Amino acid sequence: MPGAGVLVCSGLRKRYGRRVAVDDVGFEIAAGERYGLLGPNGAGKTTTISMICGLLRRDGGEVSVAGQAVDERATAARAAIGYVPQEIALYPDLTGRENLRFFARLYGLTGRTQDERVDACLELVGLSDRAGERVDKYSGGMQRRLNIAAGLLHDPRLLVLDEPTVGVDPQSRIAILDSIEALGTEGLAVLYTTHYMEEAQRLCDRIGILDERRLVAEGTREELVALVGGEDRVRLSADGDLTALAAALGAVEGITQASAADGRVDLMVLGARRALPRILEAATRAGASVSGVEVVEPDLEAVFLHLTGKALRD
Amino acid sequence: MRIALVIAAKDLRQRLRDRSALVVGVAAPLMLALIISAALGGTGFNSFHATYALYDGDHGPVARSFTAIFRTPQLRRAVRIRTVRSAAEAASLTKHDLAAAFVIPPGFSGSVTAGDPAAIRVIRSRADLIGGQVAVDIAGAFAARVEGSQLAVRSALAAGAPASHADALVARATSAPPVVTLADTAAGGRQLQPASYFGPAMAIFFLFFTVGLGARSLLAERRQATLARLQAAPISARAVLGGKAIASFVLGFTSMLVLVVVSSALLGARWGHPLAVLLLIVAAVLAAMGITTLVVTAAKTEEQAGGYSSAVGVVLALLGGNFIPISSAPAVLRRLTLLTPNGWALRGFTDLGTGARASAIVPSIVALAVFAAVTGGVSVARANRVVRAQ
Repeated sequence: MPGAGVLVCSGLRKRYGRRVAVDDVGFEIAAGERYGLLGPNGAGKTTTISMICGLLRRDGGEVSVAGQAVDERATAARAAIGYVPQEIALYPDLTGRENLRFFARLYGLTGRTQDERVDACLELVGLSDRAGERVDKYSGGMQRRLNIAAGLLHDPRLLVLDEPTVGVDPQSRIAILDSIEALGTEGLAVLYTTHYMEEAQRLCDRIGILDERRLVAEGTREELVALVGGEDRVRLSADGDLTALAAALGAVEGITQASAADGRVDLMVLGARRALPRILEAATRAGASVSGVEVVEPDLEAVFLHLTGKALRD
Repeated sequence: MRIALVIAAKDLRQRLRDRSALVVGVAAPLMLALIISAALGGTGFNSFHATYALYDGDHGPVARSFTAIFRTPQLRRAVRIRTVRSAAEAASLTKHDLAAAFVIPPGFSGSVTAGDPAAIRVIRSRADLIGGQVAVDIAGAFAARVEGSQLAVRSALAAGAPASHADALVARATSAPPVVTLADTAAGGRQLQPASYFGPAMAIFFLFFTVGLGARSLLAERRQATLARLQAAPISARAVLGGKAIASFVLGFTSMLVLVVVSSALLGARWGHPLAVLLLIVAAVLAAMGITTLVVTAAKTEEQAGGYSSAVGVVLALLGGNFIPISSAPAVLRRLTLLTPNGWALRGFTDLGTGARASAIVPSIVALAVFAAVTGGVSVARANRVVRAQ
């Protein structure tokens, strides 16, 4: 497969019986680039990276990692990948250091090289002083950080992180994001899946938006926001039947998208500030009692709403 | 091979750290073997011991012939006689600690000599059924000899022997040693000790649980998501399965070996020819690995695997004679034993324990190898599906 990227994948397809889990997904990640795969739960993010890492058989498409096609040179391709699963994939009855040593040996690291890499990765995730403790004594956040360290041991060309902040407290989340930012970009390509827009915006150079099994858009944050055009996002907090309110507002001139979720209505609006009186008037006519209005500059959530017609959290 | 050893070393470290291997593989079988051996007595698994009360109200020559039976080499080691002064005392003792009582009524010898009906009364304890039955059998055997001697005496008298010699003829006939005696020994020529039976029996029973720990660790890897890391690593499914198999084998083999040493030292178990014992252990461990892996790979969760393994392990142990000596089971069960690896392994170990030659275990080794090959082949294919990408 041609291509200079560390990861090159195209036409990825996976079916479970008659259900299609991923359909024609493809993207490239260059050396030193952080690529975010953004999408709601069930969009196909984990299935996509499972095919890239060789955990799932593909029903179609091609993958090459560091120039090695995963079908022909599976061992070489896998050796170039550092995989961090969504779950805490560690042995709870072994210490942090024992876990890392074990995974390092699987990648052929031995002797002094192994010790140096283990120490470096423990240092990176801030667990050097707790390395001798059993993992089941660690907090959830510490386990998450060690989970990431285990994927970095062999100095991979491609680091695949599958929603590494799921289920962690805010403080640990910040620590994990700091660790990922501290990785440096010297040749390491990062594939980061998340359904948190802020994480994708903060960490990723380019973002692919995955919805309902397909990649619907990709580009830098700026490129994606440009897709929204002159639209702003307006968020109404209101009481009453919000679904009916969203339907009523969708008919107002200048409103291109309207969706209700989490006790509020999100709107994509052309010229929001001028359109605001019309919006409030229509809401009143629809019998809603508006308690708050927020006008947000276009962001990834707005992009997602614009592309899919629904909020990222749906 | 290097990666398989790395995975095996990690698995063994985990098993030793959580002490499960130590408990299941050594402590539990040793304790059970100790308890069962102690319950069955330490002086001979197949030997019988009983104490009987004896009231001799006759004191005649035939009564003396009866009491002399208990001084014969066959019964002297097994039966102890307590002579009492009355039939009532004899009956009373059977209500407490004696297995049975013999009551020889006055005039017993005279009746026998005269060819009249005579009876030795056997009073059996309700608490010791076997001891009571043996007492009945002893009296029955004596009665048969008396009947035979009466026939002989009548023949002698008919042939012209003086009637005054009848008493002496009867006494001589009833006290003569039996023409045919039974020698109760095991196949190898040595009595099987309880520890020599229950040592291997418990070791084999728990072997299924010990090697099952290794097989179940594959499901634990899946639950912990560490299997995904192994799948993503540049290693083959064969290396993962090889590592699990090595760890299971080491656990099973070590557990059996420790039990051999400890049961020999503490319980006096005899295991027989060391090399043959080692071969038999290897074959038994491989067969147990094949069966447990087959069972575990049929399960979706560790809990399910634990339930399946326990059920299969207990059924195989029951059929294989791990709890109840299969020699005392009905013929159907004795045949079923040979459908289990437990039965074949135990047969090999008991043969060796009774002093049989090493070649006696060849059928057991072959049978266990067949179990290992068939179940192992199927389970490797199934386990491969667990480890490979789906």
